[in-house]
Amino acid sequence: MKRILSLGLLLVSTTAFAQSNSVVFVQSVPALDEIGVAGLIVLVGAIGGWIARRRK
Amino acid sequence: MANLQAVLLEAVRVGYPGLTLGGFLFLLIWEGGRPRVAFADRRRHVLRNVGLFVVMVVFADGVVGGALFGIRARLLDAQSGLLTALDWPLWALVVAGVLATDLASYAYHRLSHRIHALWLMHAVHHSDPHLDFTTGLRFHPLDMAAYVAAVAGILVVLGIPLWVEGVRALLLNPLSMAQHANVVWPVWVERGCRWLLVTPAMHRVHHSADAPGIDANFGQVFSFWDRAFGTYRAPAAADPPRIGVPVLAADRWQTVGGMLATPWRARSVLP
Repeated sequence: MKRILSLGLLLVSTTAFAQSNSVVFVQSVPALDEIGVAGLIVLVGAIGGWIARRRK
Repeated sequence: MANLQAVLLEAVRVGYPGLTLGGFLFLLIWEGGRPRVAFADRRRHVLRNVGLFVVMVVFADGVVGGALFGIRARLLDAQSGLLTALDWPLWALVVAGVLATDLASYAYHRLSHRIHALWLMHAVHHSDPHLDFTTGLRFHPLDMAAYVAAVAGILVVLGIPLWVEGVRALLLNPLSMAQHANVVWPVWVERGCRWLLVTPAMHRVHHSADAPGIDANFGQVFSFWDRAFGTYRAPAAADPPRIGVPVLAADRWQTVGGMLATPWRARSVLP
């Protein structure tokens, strides 16, 4: 239990540090057109799954 | 060269989340209606594996990749390594990087079955008693962290930019889910792809509970590594008689907490 708790604390603290790093060094906010194309791919995946599910 | 890099980076930025989430929904919906093997409590199974996946991404990507190694900050850096002196064009470096990281993942996977400390972590993936697409997301955070270190390490040694792994991930993430998916794939998927890619039937052999199946088919994306190193085993007409790790089949090993604790708790029960 102590190990899991330690792991959890490590995870939370270092993730916060990692996030601050990524904000400083890397452009992490996607542009609207990138969100749109990614969303289109996701939509195609969902429709494809529905078609495969109904296939005889 | 800069143009090719811009195109590939854009493909990764759009394709990585799109193909991962699109593949996720494609298989979630397909499996929900036409499962290959029906089993009880599918919803709980999916939620548990996805729960572990979230913890794994935060830990392996955020903590190890981001904070400890600073991979995100160094993604675009020009590397200096073994291939630098050859002055290869970018396309050749990308091809070499994809092949090298896939070979590194094959080697890491084989070691995971040979070295007890690594097997304790990797057994979390194998202990799934029901294969479905979420099994392809089920990895212990420490297992994934060691894998990320191995893959990033080989790129650094060769002098290949770290973002090249993102190009391989475009194929890897949907393929990993497809390899484990609980659906009946069309015949052409196996016949047409196995010469190049690790197919679902080929990977199902590796999830056998017993030798020789579990000691074969270690490849991740490309199937030729198994053929080259003598670990290829062609799938039989019937599924392996037993799937998973029998000593870890009980429900207490299948919760998110149980899976996270497996490397410590299972020391005495895993061979």
